[in-house]
Amino acid sequence: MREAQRDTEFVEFVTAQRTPLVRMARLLTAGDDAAAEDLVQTTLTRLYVHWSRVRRAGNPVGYARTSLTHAFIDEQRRAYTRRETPTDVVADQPVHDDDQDLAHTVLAALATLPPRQRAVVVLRHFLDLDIAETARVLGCTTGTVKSQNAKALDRLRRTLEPTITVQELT
Amino acid sequence: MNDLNTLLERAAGPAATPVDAHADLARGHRALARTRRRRAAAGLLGVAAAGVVGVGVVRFTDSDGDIAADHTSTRHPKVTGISFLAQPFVAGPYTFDQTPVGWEVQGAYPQGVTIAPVGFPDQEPLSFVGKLVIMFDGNPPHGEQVELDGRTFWVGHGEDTTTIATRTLADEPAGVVSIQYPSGSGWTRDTMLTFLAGVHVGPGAEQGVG
Repeated sequence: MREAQRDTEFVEFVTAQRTPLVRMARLLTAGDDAAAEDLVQTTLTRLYVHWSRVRRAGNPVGYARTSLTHAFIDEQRRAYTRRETPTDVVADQPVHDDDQDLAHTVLAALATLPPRQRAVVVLRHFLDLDIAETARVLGCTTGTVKSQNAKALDRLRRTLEPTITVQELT
Repeated sequence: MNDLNTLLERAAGPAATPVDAHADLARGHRALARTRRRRAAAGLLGVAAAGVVGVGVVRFTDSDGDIAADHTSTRHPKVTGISFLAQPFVAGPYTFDQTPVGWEVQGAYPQGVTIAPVGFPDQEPLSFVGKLVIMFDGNPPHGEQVELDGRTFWVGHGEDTTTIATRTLADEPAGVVSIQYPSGSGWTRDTMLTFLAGVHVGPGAEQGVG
């Protein structure tokens, strides 16, 4: 594959998909913008290195989402890593309006979930992937996705309510 | 009432932000150049994979069939839960006494080795989900202590992985060598204790950051 073609296609992909990936990463990291940016950079770098394979697979967005999710989970559970101790509390951020207040509350609730449960919530309820696709991304069974999803939603509901009433979740 | 998707949409931040792709492109260029240099220098991935693949297909629960061909060796006991060949292989600065049948080396680097089932969809060596990862570092080991053949091992459990660590031997670079594997994939603790006991750290190994 010619380098120029690789570069052109990659730049087009990044231009179109970087922001959605950052948003996904922001939820995965429960609002840690620096960690989210790191994850996206790692993901895009891997994508570039393997661009020929990404092209052949024919679904660069799916590849990127999977790679991002794996990078997140790896980072969370890597043995003896340099990562900081996770916290249940999102760093203080200035609250300017109701929207930011709501976002802060939701991110704080996400922060209470273990990494894989958080990933399930993001994949199922933010990206709207079905159970089978979520299982494929996470490399687990559909049964595991269902149980992790149920636990995550139960915990989210308990954390968010009564401040925020969440519509019936499935 | 709030729909969860709507809440997540709002928490995810702005949907439209200016993007400059050239910084990502520059990082990609540097990473690709590093990858090519590494491959050119050692021919590592191909050589190591060829040494590890062995024969057969993945049979996580088969403890007998695939290793029947190696009954001549008595040095390494047969382990259960996954098939092994008592056939040493080298991956970078690490030497292994046993070869897991149906698995291959995806990447070998001074700080460790990544091993995955043959044909595993995720071919990125630094992505560890569903894989077997050998790491070398200087952090003190922790977890449940287990003694095996006069050597101490520490077993720790993560959310869906298990990590076993042990100090390197006297004639190896000082540090801790550990193995991380996905729980529930057929690898048992005894299997991995035996496997890790057969991992030898060579002089080219470097301790990982952490």
